[in-house]
Amino acid sequence: MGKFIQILVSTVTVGSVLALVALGYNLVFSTTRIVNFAQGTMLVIAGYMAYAMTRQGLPIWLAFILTVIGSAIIGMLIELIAIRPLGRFDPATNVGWILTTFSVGLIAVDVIGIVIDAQPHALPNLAGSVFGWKASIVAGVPITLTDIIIVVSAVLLMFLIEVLQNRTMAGRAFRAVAQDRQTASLMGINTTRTVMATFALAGALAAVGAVLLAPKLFVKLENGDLLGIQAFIAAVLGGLGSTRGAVVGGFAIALTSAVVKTVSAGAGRYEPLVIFALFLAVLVVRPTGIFGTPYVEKV
Amino acid sequence: MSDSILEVRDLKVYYGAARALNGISFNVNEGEVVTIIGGNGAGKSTTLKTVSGVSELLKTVEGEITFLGKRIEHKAAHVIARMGMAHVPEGRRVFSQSTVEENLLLGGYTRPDRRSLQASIDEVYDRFPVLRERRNQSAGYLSGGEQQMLAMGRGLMARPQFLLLDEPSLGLAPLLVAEVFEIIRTLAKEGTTILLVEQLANLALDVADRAYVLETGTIAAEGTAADIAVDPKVRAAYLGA
Repeated sequence: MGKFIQILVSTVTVGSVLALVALGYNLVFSTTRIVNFAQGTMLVIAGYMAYAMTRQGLPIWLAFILTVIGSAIIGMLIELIAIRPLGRFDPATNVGWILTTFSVGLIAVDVIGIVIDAQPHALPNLAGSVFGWKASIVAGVPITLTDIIIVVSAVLLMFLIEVLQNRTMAGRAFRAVAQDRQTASLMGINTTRTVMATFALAGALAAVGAVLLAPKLFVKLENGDLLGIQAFIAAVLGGLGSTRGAVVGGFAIALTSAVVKTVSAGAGRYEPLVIFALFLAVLVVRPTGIFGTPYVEKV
Repeated sequence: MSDSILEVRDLKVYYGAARALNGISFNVNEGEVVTIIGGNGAGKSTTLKTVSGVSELLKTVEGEITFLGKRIEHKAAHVIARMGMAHVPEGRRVFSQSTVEENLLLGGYTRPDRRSLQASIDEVYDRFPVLRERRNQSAGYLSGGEQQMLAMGRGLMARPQFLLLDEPSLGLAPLLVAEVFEIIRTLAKEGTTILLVEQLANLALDVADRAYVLETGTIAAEGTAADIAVDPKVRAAYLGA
């Protein structure tokens, strides 16, 4: 029973955050047809940004807000530095973006290592600082307010993004740009700004994920590879571009890794192996992911 | 010319080293329907796309395009759209994963009075009743004719001062082509200023006031639509007579 609860808690919390970060991949992919491989790095940047601010004595809630804003700006910078110079390119044939997004990610991680430091850090607990509640014990497993906040805020954010996309003019414009950038510009939509806004949103989502997960996974440089790649797998597994897919993919990855870790203490080293096996198995059966629709060129 | 909506002077566009447009000049006055006719690859679509700012060749543009008294040849498409030009592109280009109504809303994206969008949508539905029945369907599920109506309705949502129509008959059954041109005729009667590009020259000349004949990037003839329609060379080349 205890193990079951433990798996459940871990799946729901880590899964929610993976879904948030996967949504960042989705947003950028929708409007640009590229995968922003610096997305994982944005998590790291956001984590260290929050750490640096709390080290200066800022309360965690303020550091959190500033980090979300700062990370949105970083997202826009990545678009400016790694994507825009490539011009109006066809992402299917011009694959320069793979290198540029990877490069800014790697460079940013090194810069953090030099400017701040390369050590793992704990962040003050955001949930505890606001509500002052520690934990309830269910069947021997502590369920903290952090866990609940993680899930609630992730779900709320995703719900909000869905509503924005479907019910507001900005959301309709975003989907128009995602479908046909040229025709969207004929509607009077500033497509350049729309693309930039999706990078900002992806950055903000990464910041929320980084700070929420810090009490569980710390702030460390490896998180970029770890969470970034897991979230990428979650996005592709669920179907790149689909919000439902990001959620299901995030939970599937989190469940898999929680089960593997719980089975035995030493089994943690098989975690990547099992995740990638699951990933391959799903893609063999459904090449576009669980909720993905085949990308059909319009006639 | 005081009532000139669009003034194009010596427009040149390059496709690599080759010229897609060899310095063409034409103009459209307020309330006029002007058509550009010509064969495949004559440069008709390139002309419209250059005017509305979506051409991939925009960086190579030489010459002047003046819209409502302002030079626009190097302006971005969304800026030109906000100035009051609506371009209904070749091949409809509806947002296929968005609903019919969302497409229409997007057509009104530039309008400052967003509260009155619903009234305009109702006007479009009155003009194209079939769209009302399908308002909540994804535009991708519409037939070709319905998509053309949607594309035109979307263009009208902006309440444009100038409407560009690129090959509205393309891929439509003859009955639907007639219907589409009936709508263009109605718009013309209401005083809409239209630049129409069309391969079906006889239909285009029938609704237009004036016409330009485009041949491999050069204007080969121009005049009133009635004169062009009886021009022996035009008749031989484009009207099958």
